Amino acid sequence: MSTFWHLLVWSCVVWYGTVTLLVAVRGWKDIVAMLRRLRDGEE
Amino acid sequence: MSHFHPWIDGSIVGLYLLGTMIAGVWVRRYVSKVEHFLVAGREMNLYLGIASLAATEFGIITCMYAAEAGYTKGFAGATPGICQALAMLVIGLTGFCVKPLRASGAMTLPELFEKRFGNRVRWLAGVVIVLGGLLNMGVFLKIGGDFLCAVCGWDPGYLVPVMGGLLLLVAIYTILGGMLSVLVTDFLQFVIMSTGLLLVTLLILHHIGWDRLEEAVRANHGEGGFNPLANPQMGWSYLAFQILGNGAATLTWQTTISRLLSARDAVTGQKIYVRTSFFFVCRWLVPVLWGVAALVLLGPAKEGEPTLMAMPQFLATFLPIGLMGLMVAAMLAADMSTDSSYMLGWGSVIYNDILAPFRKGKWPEARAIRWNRFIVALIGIYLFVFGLLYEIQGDVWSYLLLSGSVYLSSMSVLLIACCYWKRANSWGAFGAILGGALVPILFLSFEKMASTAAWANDFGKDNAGIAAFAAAATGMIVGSLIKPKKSDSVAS
Repeated sequence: MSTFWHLLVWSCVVWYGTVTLLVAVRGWKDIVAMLRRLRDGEE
Repeated sequence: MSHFHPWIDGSIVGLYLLGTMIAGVWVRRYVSKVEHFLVAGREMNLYLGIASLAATEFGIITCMYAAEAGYTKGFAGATPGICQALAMLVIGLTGFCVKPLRASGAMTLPELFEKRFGNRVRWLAGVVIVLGGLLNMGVFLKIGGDFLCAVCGWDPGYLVPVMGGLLLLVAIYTILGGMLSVLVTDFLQFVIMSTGLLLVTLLILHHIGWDRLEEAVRANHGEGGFNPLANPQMGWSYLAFQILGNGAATLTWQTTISRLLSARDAVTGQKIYVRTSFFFVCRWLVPVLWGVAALVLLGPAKEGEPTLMAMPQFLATFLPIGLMGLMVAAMLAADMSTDSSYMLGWGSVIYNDILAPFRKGKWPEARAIRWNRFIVALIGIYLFVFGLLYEIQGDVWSYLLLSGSVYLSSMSVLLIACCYWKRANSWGAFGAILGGALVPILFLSFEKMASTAAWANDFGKDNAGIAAFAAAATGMIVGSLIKPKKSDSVAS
């Protein structure tokens, strides 16, 4: 069981690090697009 | 002695708070309809959804109870995270319940229930959701304050002004911008929170090392520190309650499903669930690792010592200046995103469902937004008062899951029946709500009364939680079956 948790800890570090970078870039684009759509909808 | 440096670490925290406030207040200009305020005009896309869901579901309290589980149960303490990740993955892949829920166009669960069970069930479901949610959220502030005081080395007397000030900042941007402010600040908070969590975790793995972590768990917890079924504090009833509770939370927890309901469409909502699912393993395992690291450096708790405070006491002396500031900013980010989403989540149910019978016709948008802002402000006041007074008995996670099951049990039964059981009707819905709410409320009351406290302790929170689900399901089946069908009534 110890090996399972060891692997899971490193999987978390790698997955979380990758997702943080991805979301930092693509999430920002999502915000800009969302606010643009809301502004266009108002106009 | 804490390593928190008032100028260096304080500046990092101040900069974060300033950035969040500017972003949160700035987007208020885009709020012109109540749909913008409650579900961001349903314009949220995939990556923003992942950031928002992850940031909302990780607060200081999450970090504290998960780290406590690591300190007292070893790595097996991360079991709830695996249960929730699996639940979210399966629900996201299959669209079980969430697909018809998003397709219905409802803004809250009770709004969907009204279509099947009538307006009385909608109102009562709203009351149960708010009751369970607010009871659950009420403990966030004090535990968050305890963490900050321990990590920064502040006098506990600072708890009220610090947490009150933090709550005020959160309330300001949530009241002004609603879900739009919550989403934008959630994004910033996700990035800062994740950076802080990852750096602290890497530092622990580098400085302490896996071998020492494993050795401490084996020495203090034996095989039970790795296998939940071999742990005397856990076992089958714990595992069963975790599977039920986390599955139900994924289906019905207002702050989780509000991300689904804010998504552009059902497919985007399901993708958010699938791609965020593994975060729930991280959400538990990262703080559990911090708790185990506290066990290595501080040793096991002595009789009467609060195990909840072991992790912050460890961090106070383990982290260097600079990283300490980033970690405090990360934890504040985690807490603020949770508080804002919870205030808005329960506020939306109060406005949309509990106040529904008192609204004659459709309110003008400006009036509706004003009422929503007023409700969020009231929840903020409640949080401040209740959050600093209530004392939890036993471990925090079990309390949260049990108080949450006031509504998790009945609402998950209602949702499943609403979507997939043709015989389900309003009597069954009332039966499920009554059964699901009665068991946890009775148990929490028994726990507080001196004459019944010992019995409640023997019965255990896990069994009480399972009993709540069983009572809700029984209530739904019996109620639905005994209600006469319309054709029978006409014939008779």
